[in-house]
Amino acid sequence: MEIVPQLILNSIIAGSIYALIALGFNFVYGATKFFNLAHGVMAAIGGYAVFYFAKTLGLNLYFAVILGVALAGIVGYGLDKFIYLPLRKRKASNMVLLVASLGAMTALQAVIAILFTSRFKTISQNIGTQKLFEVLGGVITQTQLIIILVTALILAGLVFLLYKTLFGKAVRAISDDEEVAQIVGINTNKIIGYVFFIGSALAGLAGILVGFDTGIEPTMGLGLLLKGVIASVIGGVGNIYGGVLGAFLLGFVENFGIWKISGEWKDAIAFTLLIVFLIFRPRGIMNK
Amino acid sequence: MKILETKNLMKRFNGVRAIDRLSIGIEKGQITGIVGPNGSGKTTLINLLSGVLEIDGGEVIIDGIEKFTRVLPHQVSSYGITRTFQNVRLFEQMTVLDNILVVVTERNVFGSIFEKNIEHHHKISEEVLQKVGLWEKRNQLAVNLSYGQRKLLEIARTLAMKTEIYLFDEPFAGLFPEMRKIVASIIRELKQKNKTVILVEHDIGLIRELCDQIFVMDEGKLLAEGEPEAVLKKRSVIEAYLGE
Amino acid sequence: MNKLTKWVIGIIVVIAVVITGYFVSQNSSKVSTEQIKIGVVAPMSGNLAFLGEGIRDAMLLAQQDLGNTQYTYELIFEDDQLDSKITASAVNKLLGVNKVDAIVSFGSGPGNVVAPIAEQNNVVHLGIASDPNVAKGEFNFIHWTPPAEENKVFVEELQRRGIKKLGVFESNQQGAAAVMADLKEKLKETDIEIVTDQVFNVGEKDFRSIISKAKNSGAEIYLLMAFSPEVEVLGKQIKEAGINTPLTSIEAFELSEQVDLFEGEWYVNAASPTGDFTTKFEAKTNENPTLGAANAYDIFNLIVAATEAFKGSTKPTPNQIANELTTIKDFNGVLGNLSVDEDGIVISKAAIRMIKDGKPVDIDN
Repeated sequence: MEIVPQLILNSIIAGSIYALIALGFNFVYGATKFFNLAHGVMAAIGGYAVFYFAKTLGLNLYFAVILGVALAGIVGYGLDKFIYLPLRKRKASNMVLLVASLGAMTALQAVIAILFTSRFKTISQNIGTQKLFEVLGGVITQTQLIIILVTALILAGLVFLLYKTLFGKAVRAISDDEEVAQIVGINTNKIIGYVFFIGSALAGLAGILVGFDTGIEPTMGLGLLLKGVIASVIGGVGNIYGGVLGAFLLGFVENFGIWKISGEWKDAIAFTLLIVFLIFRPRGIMNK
Repeated sequence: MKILETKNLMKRFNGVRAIDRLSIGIEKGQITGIVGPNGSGKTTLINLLSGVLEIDGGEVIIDGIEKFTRVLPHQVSSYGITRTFQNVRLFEQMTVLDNILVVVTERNVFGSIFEKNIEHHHKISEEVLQKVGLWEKRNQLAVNLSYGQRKLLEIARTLAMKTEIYLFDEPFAGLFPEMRKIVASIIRELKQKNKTVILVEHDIGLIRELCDQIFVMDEGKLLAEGEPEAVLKKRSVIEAYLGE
Repeated sequence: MNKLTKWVIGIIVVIAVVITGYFVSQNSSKVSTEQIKIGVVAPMSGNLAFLGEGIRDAMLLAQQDLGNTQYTYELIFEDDQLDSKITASAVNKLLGVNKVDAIVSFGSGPGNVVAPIAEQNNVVHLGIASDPNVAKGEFNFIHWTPPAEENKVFVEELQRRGIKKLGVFESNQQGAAAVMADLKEKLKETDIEIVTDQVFNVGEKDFRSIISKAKNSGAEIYLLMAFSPEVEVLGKQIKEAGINTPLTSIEAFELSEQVDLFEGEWYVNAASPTGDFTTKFEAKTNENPTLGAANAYDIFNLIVAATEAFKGSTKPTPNQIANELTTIKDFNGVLGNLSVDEDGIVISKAAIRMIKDGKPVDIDN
């Protein structure tokens, strides 16, 4: 039974990573009702940016992280401005936007692979020799602790942004009814652009943290996005709290699910959970 | 001077002319009514003027200067126009207060993140919400309000925008008498402040009571115009209504 | 122009075409009687590109080192990213377009794809792969210290160190599975117990929970049967779980880029290349020979040896090359003394190594 505390910790760690992805994803989806598949590749962009700035150029690590997050945000903003917005202006259907985002993801992944090779890389400075903390009967590394803290902070920050600032009110208004938001004079396109920046920056941050914890490869975004999407569907797509709830639920189900059966079933369990929700409660736990 | 004019305005839906070469002129500072049987194009006209639908032909002229053939929804307010909807459209998952606040805020995004002038915004919000009697309910979600309260909130929202031209699409429909009184007094107050009100209504009594001018529409065309009493007596108008 | 002129021109054109055709066919058949084409499929891009490049460099080195031979040997390289799906189309191209006489493949997955194609198309195939299935058939061979060999050495080492409890983390991947099945069989005949056996999928990056499951099993050493990038992440997360139990592997450590993770750990590897080869390889590439590079070098020379040994007036067919290969005994390869057995397996001896100062070194036992 002493395995349980560690399993709980593992679930929280996994849940935090999924939550970070889901937060950015839901932030964008809430405002645009658009499934941005390219969200995943922003994580890779963040991770590789830090790799380049910190390891290749030798810049200060914190500075590299800030640059990485900003770069991811800028790329996301650019995608909106140059691809999604023109399509939206032409009243493109969500299907078209989805395909466009898929194209963007594939192209960006390919560029990363060309620039950096497909080899799995680490961006942490010390491999396997991190400080360990003993928490409630389990063990956790410094990076993992940071991941959990960062996720909590980002959640608090986003909630504050959305509910306590006027920018956040505008975002919620757009999310509620974009047309009425426009009629009352909100420059929806501009605000959506900023939403993409923030959401993509969050994905970049997630990619950086995952890079520190395990490592980076050009296709890392897809796997992360998938888990983020599953978390969002379970918790309620477009709902900030829902994404986080779904993420932790997924983390727990995955890690406790393989307690008594082989680890090979982990992905199957995640997908089973997704299908169960799609069939019985597609709107997710938190959506009405 | 006409604050708003349309010249040969056209709108087609699948070949059917919903608005057919409509040319009208709205006087500034007056309450103008748009009446007509169901399907005559009243709401379509409002939709065209507020950018919700695209204009197929003709033009709209504001203040004798600005001509537009197609106005985008977010530009509407910059032209000094605001509107309500026949089926009330609010930001359902936001509070009553937020529904107003989001309208009065700066358009500058960064300013809005740091909430400059927050007192000023709250003052305006309180003012309009008091006017419609919703200040006490300011922290309730819009979706939880009663039908009448929702209509009042929508009107309060237009007031908060402090524009020149107000398009109200059946603001009295489904309201209890007390609420009707409130709406009527708001409209009169707007006129007092020299604002322009365009009112789509079915209730002839209210039309007579409030409007300085009315336009009667039938099948997308202008049937009659003029002062309410005179127009409503016209045979053609009566026939149009009876024929429906 | 008049009729006669037209006829004359026409005949000249026909003669010109026939003569050209004759010379062209002479040239191409001239090439084909003297040249042996060897097609090589290996990962030239992707995560394991460094392995494919090592193989390529080794074979080019062998080609360079070749002295006088009766025939000439051409190498054609195709990238398959170690992905069996891509291997199939790469092989078809080599057969259809380049018309190769022999194919060299890398990895058990790709090897199993090439084997039946080679058999059907009468082309010799040598796989740098551990799965004996790849060697099935007359035309197929593998040059890799067989799992049976490696496991034998591994079990001996476990017994020598007095280890009684073994913990296993295995990837459900073709190459790993074959080795594990054989190992489990061998362990049955000893008093060594597998106290925990955790299986995971390729592509998994979060091993924390299966590590938790294994933690209190009492294992004295953990066997990591996985390849890059899983093996590095696994190794890292085991250490992060506060587990200081020794780690070992069969071949995986050398496949990893982060060998310092396994500093001080002993493991079993396929036969080591001679110092001579290592020096030559380093001179050419500035790198240590990667996994499989020495095998590739040997394979080139085995093909040459078999082809040159053939007694006949024309170039040997792939069938004849294959037959010659099976007769090779006590061949002096860079992986030591090589003999080809009746199953088409080139037998070489497994080695025990350790990571010291970030580099693999042989341990003498």
